[in-house]
Amino acid sequence: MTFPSLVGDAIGGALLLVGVVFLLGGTIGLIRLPDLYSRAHAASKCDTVGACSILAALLLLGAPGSAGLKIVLLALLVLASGPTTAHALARCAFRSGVAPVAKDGGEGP
Amino acid sequence: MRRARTSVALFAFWCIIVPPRGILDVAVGVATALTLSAWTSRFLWPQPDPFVSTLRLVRLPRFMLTMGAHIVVAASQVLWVVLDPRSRVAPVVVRHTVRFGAEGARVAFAHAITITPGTLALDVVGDTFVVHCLDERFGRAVSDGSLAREIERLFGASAGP
Repeated sequence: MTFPSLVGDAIGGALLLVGVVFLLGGTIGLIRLPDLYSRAHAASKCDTVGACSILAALLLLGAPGSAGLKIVLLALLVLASGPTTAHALARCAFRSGVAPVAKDGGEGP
Repeated sequence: MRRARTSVALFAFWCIIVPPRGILDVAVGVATALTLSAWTSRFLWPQPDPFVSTLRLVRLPRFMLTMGAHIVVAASQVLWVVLDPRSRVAPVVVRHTVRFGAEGARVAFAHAITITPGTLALDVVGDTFVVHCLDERFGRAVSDGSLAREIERLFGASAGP
């Protein structure tokens, strides 16, 4: 095993670990945070970063040429769709009258 | 015409992700692309085509890199709130008004709010953005105007409170 591939494997492994931590954090956030809107923070941000981190790890851990392009496209799709989906869900809930649990007593649409 | 362009783009994406190995794969790809473009055309492209200048295209990668960095910070912030047993979540909803000249700038601003630490765009009514913040201090990042200026630099639209 050459030195560059060893470094690539180490960075890839670290990115995998980071991805797992973020995905786990996002899942715990879904349980721990108080309402749909707060949970959407966890789902949109942690899951997006977690998925992109794992995709970057796959890229480094020796994905062949065409698979590399797929991974980059999927990462861009995840980056664009994660926050947009969270906004769409939150907007739908807000317009449907789901009141946020807020420090100031909540606010309707 | 827009529906045709969307269908072609979606089919190209399909061909990259699932390289067709036979007529069945092509048929499924075409059917999926046509269905998705027909379904999304009602709400995805209700406005006329936005004007995309060369300057905007040049600025776009920098903006995307900035937003990429924001989302990592935002996710780390949420991770900290979720995993720290001492942290207390005190969400607030704030309304922030910014005037943008372009519809695209409003969309980009709402997206940028969602990937800014601790904030989530709930709704956009005209020039008013309804923002959910995990804590009051996160709301200040939106109301101090720096994010709006970033969008203004990209779109060249007038932004102000």
